[in-house]
Amino acid sequence: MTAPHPQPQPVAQPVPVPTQEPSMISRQVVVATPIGLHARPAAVFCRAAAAQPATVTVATAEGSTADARSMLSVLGLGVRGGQEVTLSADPGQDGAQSSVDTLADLLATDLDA
Amino acid sequence: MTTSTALITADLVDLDLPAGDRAAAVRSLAERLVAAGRVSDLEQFLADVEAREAQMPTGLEGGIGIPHCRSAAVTVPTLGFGRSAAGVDFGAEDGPADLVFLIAAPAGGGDEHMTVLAALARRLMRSSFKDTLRQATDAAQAADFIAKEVSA
Repeated sequence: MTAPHPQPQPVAQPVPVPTQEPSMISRQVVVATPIGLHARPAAVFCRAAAAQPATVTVATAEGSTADARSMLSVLGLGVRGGQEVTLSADPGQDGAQSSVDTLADLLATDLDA
Repeated sequence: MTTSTALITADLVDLDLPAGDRAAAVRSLAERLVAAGRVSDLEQFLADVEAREAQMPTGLEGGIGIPHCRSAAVTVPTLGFGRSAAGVDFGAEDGPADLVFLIAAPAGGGDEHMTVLAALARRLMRSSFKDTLRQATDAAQAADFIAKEVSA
């Protein structure tokens, strides 16, 4: 196996802006509810978020973010069924991982069923 | 239909909703939609709104109620706005709503009412939007303001 000649690394390579802090706990999930995150499914989701120990943020691929506990904030995202969102939480919070996991699992189910 | 109909107009705005409960507030706004030719059957429309409301209350934090539904009785996507000095209980945990938005979507339509809902929700997170509506004295100006903000 012939190793390619190592490319010299530029010293000041521009770093792409990450969509979230790399240290954040996050999970991507496709919203399973066909009508998306509004009406009853949004209410169920926000209620569950309010019951979590950690503050969880919902982000769309377009870069809009919302506090998962706020109905207005979540409704404002206009998330459709089948759309992928990212849930994230600061790992410094108690229960950050379980909060993200619980809410991601919820979004992966049909909340309108 | 070759002309597009505005989502909200002055005759769909009531800056002084009669005091009463949720059903009375929705009925009062819905009657405006009927008078404007946007809802063909008042009782069917009210039943559809109530069915939606029964699934989950539409009250939101900060004094907001957003009763809404898709209904066969709706002929044109429409937004009605009512302001209640006394407040109307829409089931929000932080208390009654003084700003009520009635979102009516035709049964067979696409998801434009969800776009309206999302745009409205984003504006409602800004206190300046709510302040403008709380201070409005003219229905036509309030309708223009909402139409511009929500379609922006």
